[in-house]
Amino acid sequence: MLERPRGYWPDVFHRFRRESIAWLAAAVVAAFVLAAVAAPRIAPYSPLKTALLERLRPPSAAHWLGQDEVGRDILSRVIFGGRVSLAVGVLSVALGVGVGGLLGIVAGFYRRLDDPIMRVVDIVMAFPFILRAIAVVAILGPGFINLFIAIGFGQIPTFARLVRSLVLGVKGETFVEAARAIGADDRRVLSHHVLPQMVAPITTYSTLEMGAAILGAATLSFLGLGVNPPTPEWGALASAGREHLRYAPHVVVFPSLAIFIAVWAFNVLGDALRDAMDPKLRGR
Amino acid sequence: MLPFVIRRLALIVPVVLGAMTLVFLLVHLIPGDAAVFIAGERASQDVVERIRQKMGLDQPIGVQYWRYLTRLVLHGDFGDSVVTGTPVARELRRAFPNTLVLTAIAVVWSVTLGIVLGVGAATSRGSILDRGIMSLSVFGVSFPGFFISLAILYVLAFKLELFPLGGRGPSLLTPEGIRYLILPAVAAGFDMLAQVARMTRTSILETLGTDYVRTARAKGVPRRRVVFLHALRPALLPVITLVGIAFARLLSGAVVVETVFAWPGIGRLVVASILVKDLPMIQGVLLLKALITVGMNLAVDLTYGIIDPRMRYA
Amino acid sequence: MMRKQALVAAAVLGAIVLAAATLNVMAQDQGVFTDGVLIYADRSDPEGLDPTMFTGTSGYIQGHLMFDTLLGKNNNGKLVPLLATSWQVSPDGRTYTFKLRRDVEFHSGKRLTSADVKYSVERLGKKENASPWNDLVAFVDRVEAPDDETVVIRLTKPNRLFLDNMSQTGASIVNRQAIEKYGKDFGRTAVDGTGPFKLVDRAFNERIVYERFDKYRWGPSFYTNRGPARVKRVVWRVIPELATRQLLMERGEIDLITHNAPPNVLYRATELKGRVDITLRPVLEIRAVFTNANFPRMKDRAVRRAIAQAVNAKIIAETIYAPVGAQAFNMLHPLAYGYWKGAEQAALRYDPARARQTLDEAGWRLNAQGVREKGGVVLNGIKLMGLPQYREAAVVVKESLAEIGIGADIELSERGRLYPLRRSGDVELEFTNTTGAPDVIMEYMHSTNFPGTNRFGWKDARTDQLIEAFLAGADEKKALEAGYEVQKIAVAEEALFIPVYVTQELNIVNSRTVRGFVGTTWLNSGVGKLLGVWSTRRP
Repeated sequence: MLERPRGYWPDVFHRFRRESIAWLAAAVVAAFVLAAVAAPRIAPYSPLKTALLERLRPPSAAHWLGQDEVGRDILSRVIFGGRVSLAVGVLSVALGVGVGGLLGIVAGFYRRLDDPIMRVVDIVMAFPFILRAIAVVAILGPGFINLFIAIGFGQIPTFARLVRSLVLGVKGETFVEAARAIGADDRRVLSHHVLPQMVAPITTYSTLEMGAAILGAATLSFLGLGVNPPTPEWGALASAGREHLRYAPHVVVFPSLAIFIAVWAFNVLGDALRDAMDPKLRGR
Repeated sequence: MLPFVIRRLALIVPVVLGAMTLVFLLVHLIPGDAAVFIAGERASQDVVERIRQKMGLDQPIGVQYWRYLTRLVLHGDFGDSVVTGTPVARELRRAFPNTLVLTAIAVVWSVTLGIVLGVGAATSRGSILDRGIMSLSVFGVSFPGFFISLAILYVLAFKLELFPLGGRGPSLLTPEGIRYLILPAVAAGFDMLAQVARMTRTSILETLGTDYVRTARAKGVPRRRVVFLHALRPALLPVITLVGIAFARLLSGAVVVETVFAWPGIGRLVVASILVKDLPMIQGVLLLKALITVGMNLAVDLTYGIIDPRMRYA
Repeated sequence: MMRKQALVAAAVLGAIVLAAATLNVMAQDQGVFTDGVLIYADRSDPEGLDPTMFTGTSGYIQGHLMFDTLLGKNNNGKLVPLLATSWQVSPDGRTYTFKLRRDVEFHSGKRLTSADVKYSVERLGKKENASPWNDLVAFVDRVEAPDDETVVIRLTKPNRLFLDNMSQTGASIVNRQAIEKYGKDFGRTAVDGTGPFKLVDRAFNERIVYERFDKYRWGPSFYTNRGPARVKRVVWRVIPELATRQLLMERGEIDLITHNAPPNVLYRATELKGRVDITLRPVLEIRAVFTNANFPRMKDRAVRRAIAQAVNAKIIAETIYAPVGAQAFNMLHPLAYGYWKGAEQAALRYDPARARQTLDEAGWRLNAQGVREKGGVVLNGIKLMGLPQYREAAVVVKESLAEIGIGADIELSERGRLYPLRRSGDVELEFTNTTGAPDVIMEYMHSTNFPGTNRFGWKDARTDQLIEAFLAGADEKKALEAGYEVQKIAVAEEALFIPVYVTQELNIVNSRTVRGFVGTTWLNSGVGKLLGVWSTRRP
């Protein structure tokens, strides 16, 4: 069946539109972002106010998700925790894309630097993601800033490799050779030809890596290496409730669900974007 | 073939060396002081000094590095744990097989089931089965690992009392001992199951769209044969990479699974040794994990080289 | 007539036979199964196995199973004979003479003599051995062994805590020949003690296995069974995850937990009856907030006193640490020797209004951000440190301080990070635990221990004099009063030590397999020599 070919972006959008679940995921992400931004307005209680005499109470009319081990409202802490978890996700991905992307561009563009840079990347990638993050935290100590640095550090090699292969891919394209033939310098080639091609894949990967970043931050917090109390962060909330799993499981369950829903949404969104932009699946 | 293998092997030498150096630097950057920790709260200042001297921590860092490197490369000596006094290598030798067994079982079940599900999803593309499997697999990778482990422990082991709770029982070769392995292996493989299923499906779909498959279909080859004979083999290539990566990751310690199920492997050793700042042990464990990852990558590369001749010239 | 008599005779005979049979069966039930295995679960691995190097509760337990000390202590804190059958103190308090038992053997078979005791005491005190316990023998001048059964220890100054010191794990008696033979490996791969259990196998972070030492006869005198132990084997399992330990106990896969147990499990005591027995025991353990007077902002006594009055110790004790917590009032534990009862009245109490007043009067005014400020110094960003297990208490303390205008930041760290900071005096404020034993008077308050164990940063000549009078003074009454003064300084005047709660520990016993367990209170671990207990669990 022949259709009139659309432009690139309209085509992407058209394919994206067809996946209804992607819309649901996008809505969920939007909801989380909104909740994070508007946290002080929508949270029913302060996330820090303790109420020792009401500790570990199960969900009730006054506290929809129940109360934690020092009596704080879990719903409020999950909402504010979203701020922290999302912020860690965004900042670490930004760090990964920024530094990793830079490394990738340099490695892809300048062949002399390619080998040494990639060797170092290989060495760092010899350590699994979680261990890299743990090592950074062990050195820097706990805390919000150190946490996102640790996770971001874990993601730098991934993005470095990705960007490098993208750059190499684009470099080989004929239109780049043509541009060089007419005398365009490196910077021009970079900004006019290479970077635009990378926007789409990087967006996709960033979305997927957001999920990984949130999970990573939660795992580190669970192991006790994340934010400092009383800062709410989903993994830290779940970890704090661990001791009370037998008698008050709601303290672990709700933050874990929050993590799950957020990561799921980012993953689905990322997948849909990737499917939409995948040239091999175009025209189907 | 042989030059390819040799080239690959040669490439890992600087990587391994770099990893050793990185581990050394990392561990010596950790703030705090092993000597003070061992001496404990009650000890006086000169006691701490004695311990520091006993452990060689007072030497300049260059000297420490050289000793570390030579002992490691020439003697395979990871040093002695400052906490138990026994050689680190011995503790690693004890813990590693446990993680190996756990990983192997986890990989076997999750990869097998994952490929089956992936093929099923790909061949029935668009159907409810496909959508169902894909949804479940996205679910699977979105759950935080600790939650899965805790949930499995709580529901299957505690509430339903179907399995023992944590630890590693008597010899795994007995039917009794196997029961201890099942739950942690399930928890550890969960993540991989989801990823393998997705990857298999995507890969098969891509292969199905390629020219030679279309040619086969045009020639009239029945659909099922097309899938199994022509599409599956090349489709499995990316899956092999994924399995290799995942195997390496699990092998280098499913930290959370081992902690929750009290499985005595190297994952747990990492956390324990960081907690007590057992420098030689931390170094030993990190290094082992790095070596495993490097080894697995090498194995994957070599496998690719065998399967896909084009790769040999990369 | 005859028939009736016969019937009665038969009935009586039958009754006798029945009674005998029943008694016989009962006697068999009383029979102790001496081939049982006892499985103990703990959170972490003890460190090496040299008794002079233990620094954690896990270690202390192992020490008392494998080794013995000269003296033991019963559950009332009274010192009793163990390896020493009797002892004498000279009138000037500087010479201690111990008489040893003649029938003691090490696991290797060698007989214990005074040479081993002399060697152990000297080894403990040697600086180059770097033992954290060497202050147990701090004032020891020399040790003599005039004959195989007599040991004479001469001190440079009297120390009223010396006998107590000789009952502590660090003062365990080791085999001199074994040390000379194994050298560095002693406590690592080889151990030789006189204790009721000998080491059989070990896997770091996983398990330690002990077997009964059959020749053991010399348990402390308050045990009805002074040896050998009734349990054949003790298996020490390391299970870091608290939920897992709990679940394993309820399922009957482990037998004994006596420390690091969550108090919550008490709520299930009735439900678990018949399967798991849960009892409480007092321990020498106080949780408190330590202030460091050496820090610029903490130098001001008003600030420290205000902090003490802002912390609601009662509520913390009764909620977070319910049902085992009770409010603490003093730096020493109520059960400890030298405890000053007056602290219960004199200690600074929870009174936020007074706290604010104290700060106002000292010139600390609330600034625009709601934080106290004086002369350009702001009481914000004060680092409140602690181990991760005190997270909940730290959160509450931070909130309490915020209410009076002091801003604290919580930083929880594991021991590896925290200990060095404590020793170098770099911790401003900490939520921590302490034994509340009388040695803390010297450790925490004497100026020579700063930097070091004196985490209060307290350097005061008068305090030093009082401490010395307490330890070495000839008149016990005067010495105790000096001790009371020091406690008064710490908790009532200078607010260096802000007591929060004393806790009890739980004995969690698998009643399906364990018989005859009585928790010891003379050791915080709750596990003594394990001489009375036996297990029906088969190997």
